[in-house]
Amino acid sequence: MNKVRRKLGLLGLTFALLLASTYMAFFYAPIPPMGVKVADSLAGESIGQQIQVVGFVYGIQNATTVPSSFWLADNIDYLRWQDHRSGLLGADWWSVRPIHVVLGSGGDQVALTEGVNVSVSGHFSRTEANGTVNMNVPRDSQHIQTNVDITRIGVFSAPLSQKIFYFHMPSAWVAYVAFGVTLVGSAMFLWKRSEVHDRIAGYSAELGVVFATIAIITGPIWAKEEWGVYWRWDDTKLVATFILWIVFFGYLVLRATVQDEGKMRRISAIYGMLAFVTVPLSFLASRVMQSFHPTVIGSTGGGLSADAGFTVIVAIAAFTCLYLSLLWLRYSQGEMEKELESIKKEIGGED
Amino acid sequence: MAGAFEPLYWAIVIVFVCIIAYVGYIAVKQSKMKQALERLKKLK
Repeated sequence: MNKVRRKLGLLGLTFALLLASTYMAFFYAPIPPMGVKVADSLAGESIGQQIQVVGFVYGIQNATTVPSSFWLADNIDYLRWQDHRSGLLGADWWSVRPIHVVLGSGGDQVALTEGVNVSVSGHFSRTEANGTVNMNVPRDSQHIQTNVDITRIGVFSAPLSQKIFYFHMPSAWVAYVAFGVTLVGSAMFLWKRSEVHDRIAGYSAELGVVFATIAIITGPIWAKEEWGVYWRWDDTKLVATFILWIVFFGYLVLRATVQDEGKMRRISAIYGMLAFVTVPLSFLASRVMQSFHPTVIGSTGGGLSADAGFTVIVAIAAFTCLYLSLLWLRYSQGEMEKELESIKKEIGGED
Repeated sequence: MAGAFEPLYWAIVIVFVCIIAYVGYIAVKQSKMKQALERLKKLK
């Protein structure tokens, strides 16, 4: 009875936290203010050179009035964005959108001249967005300064997309935790030869794959809005996470296909421990290698506001409770499986 | 994009579909096992 109560308690807590985190993601988490940062490399361009300004819009203003798409989906200079990513992400990572602003009207490039303020308005939006780029080129410099400023900006087509983060990130986090439990379970099995540890490792890997699947599907939905593409094979974080998913899916296939139970347990324990290598690989990919993927937990703090941070914490707690509930449910079912096996053995392997 | 189903809602649908699919997988397995267990208990 106590066991049932505990189970119901955990399920209730999970449900309440999921409701709370969803509510907070929609209504509590703030939408950061909009701004523009121009590519740092402009400081290195020479006067007289034909240039293109590549700016970055971050944040969303006036979430309630967001009818149109902001960036040029067909004309984004991803290469430049990649080049200057490090200067942009960190403090203002969210809703980072590249915009491709061509100086001059009608999309023409212009030659920069000393001492001229160049103003550009409009046409850096796919639809209705308006903006002004004021570019100051000082007389006494051979280099253009980076004080490009957009004074008025249109609004976004998908203001809610940034909130996918509150589902995407906790899913990925729980997947890492689940695979960590698989690592510990596998190690414990090899040490103590206890069947329970092997089962926990296996069940946790199942859940890890489920949560990693959620992260891998919700990520591209968000990416399509932010980057204009669903997937980038040249992005280390994305590829590393995909490898992680395949490796642990392989772990599940291994467990399902090896007939000899003892052999299956031994092999999958070793595999489970080796497979865990992909977790730090995925976690650190955007930190140590070049990636478009934002880094939330990092030395720079990720730029989350207090309210957003609190929402993330609640979402992580909700997903962790969900993971624990499902693990418990799966474990209970495993108990029945064990009982079935023992009865089968008793009556001579008959089904 | 105006009027289209918000990507956020798609993401939430994906979350629920994945979780429900897993719970369904457990439930189906459990019910099959229950049946087998009852059958075996009778045999025993």
